[in-house]
Amino acid sequence: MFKGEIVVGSDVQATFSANHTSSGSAHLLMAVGRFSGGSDADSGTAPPGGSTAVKLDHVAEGVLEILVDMKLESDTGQLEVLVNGKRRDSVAVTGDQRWTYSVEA
Amino acid sequence: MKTRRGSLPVGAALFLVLLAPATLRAQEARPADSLCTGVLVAQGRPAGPAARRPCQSLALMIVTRRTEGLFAALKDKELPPRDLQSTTLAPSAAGSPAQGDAVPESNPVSLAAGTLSMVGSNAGTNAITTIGINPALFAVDPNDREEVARLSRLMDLSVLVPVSGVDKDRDGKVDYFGLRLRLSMTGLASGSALMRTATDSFRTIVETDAALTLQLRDRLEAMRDPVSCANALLADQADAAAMEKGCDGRVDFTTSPERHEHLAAVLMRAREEADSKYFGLDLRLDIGDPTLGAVAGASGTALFGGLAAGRRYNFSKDGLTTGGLKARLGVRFNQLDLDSSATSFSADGGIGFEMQRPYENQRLSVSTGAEFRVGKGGVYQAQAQTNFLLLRASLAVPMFAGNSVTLNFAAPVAGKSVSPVLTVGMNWGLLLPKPGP
Repeated sequence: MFKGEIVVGSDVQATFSANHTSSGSAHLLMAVGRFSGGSDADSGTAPPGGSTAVKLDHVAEGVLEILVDMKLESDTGQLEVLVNGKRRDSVAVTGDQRWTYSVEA
Repeated sequence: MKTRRGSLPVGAALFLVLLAPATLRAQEARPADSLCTGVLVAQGRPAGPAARRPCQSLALMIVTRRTEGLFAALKDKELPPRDLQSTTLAPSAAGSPAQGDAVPESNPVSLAAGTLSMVGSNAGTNAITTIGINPALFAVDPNDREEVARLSRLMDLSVLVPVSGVDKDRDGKVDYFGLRLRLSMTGLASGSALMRTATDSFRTIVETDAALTLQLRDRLEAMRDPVSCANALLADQADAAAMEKGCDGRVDFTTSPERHEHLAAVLMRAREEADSKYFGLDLRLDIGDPTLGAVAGASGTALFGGLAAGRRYNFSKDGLTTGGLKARLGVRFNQLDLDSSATSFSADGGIGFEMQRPYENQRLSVSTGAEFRVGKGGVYQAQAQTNFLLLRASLAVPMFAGNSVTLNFAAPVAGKSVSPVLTVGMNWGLLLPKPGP
């Protein structure tokens, strides 16, 4: 799901909190594919009832993608994205998620 | 686990600085910008400040939609619905006559739980009540389901009190009182080599998406009519001919599905690895006579601190039946009431094997194991119970939602005055509320 734009140089943090009732752990991955080539990435795992956070500082122009991979599509949790410390998106989600942001100069 | 790939060398960075005027020109309004903005708005662009490069946003919106199907590899996985982190519905009575597991683990209860145990030993029959709560409940708004869910796996505190013969020796004091604290540190299992592989796989996908987005952005910005091209690419039933006509040429979205399939496979293995392990802290305080009168002079104060860990494996094709090893090890300090100088330290541990199958929010389990204590009790070795080896076997059977019955038998193989124990426990557990719609 395309989620909008982020300004180049921003600090981006994503947090996923898995519901206690989840059938297994959930993975959270975030990466920026730079238009100049290469990428930066961070990842973590949230056990049921736990949470994990990933962060990338000073993101370069390109594409930022966030992926939440849950064990079952019926698993739920809360996915939140902060840009420069301010809440950008926070949604209660069910099943795998893929959010994309355009990082623009 | 942060990683970086393909950083620009210093020379290249300097080159980009010298080209800064050209970059600044790129921030000026382009003829296609307003047209791209129109498509973005029509397609339900997320709220927020206006895009600095609307055609880049539009290009990424298109790439996201056109590649969404590739991520179905993650959704269509046939994961076995194993319950590797099944709900714990019994408080901790570890190390007491009311212990229900062959080898206790460190997973806490989610909200609250209680057990009424009937204990048969050389001391006769006794009843012990154990109440366990998750202290996080006092720190969060109970209506905040997300926060409650986040903290519910962290720790719990259990209190053990005998309800039969509270003061058998009639000295005006409760004969036995126990506290247990379990702290789960399962999340430590997340930093695996498999996750590094998964992260690298994901980066490759994102780099490809970035290349596609850049290519499409430049193309849209160069077009007189980017709207026709964008609409053709965004159409649900877009075909190659329509896209080629709308975009004045072929637009190639060919990406390798193998990358997504590889990512899905690695993530599944990483999850199995993380879920099959537990690791936690086990703290115990016993005041009074933990033998409930089976050993004369055993009354005292005992403090135990240890670690508990385990790993589970699949034992059935449907993935529901799992089996695994459980182990714990710690140090126990004991001071007897009969002689204030009678203090002792001992190593206290256990290892066991458990087979289990989840049933709704509970589990049917059979376990067996051995528990030991090794130390120097001196002349009070029997009272301090510093040296013994116990074999244990237990069975836990779900009764109905949130309730189960456990049967545990412990037989001493070695050790002075250690009593065989038969325990029947009725467990009641309070579950978290169901997630809202």
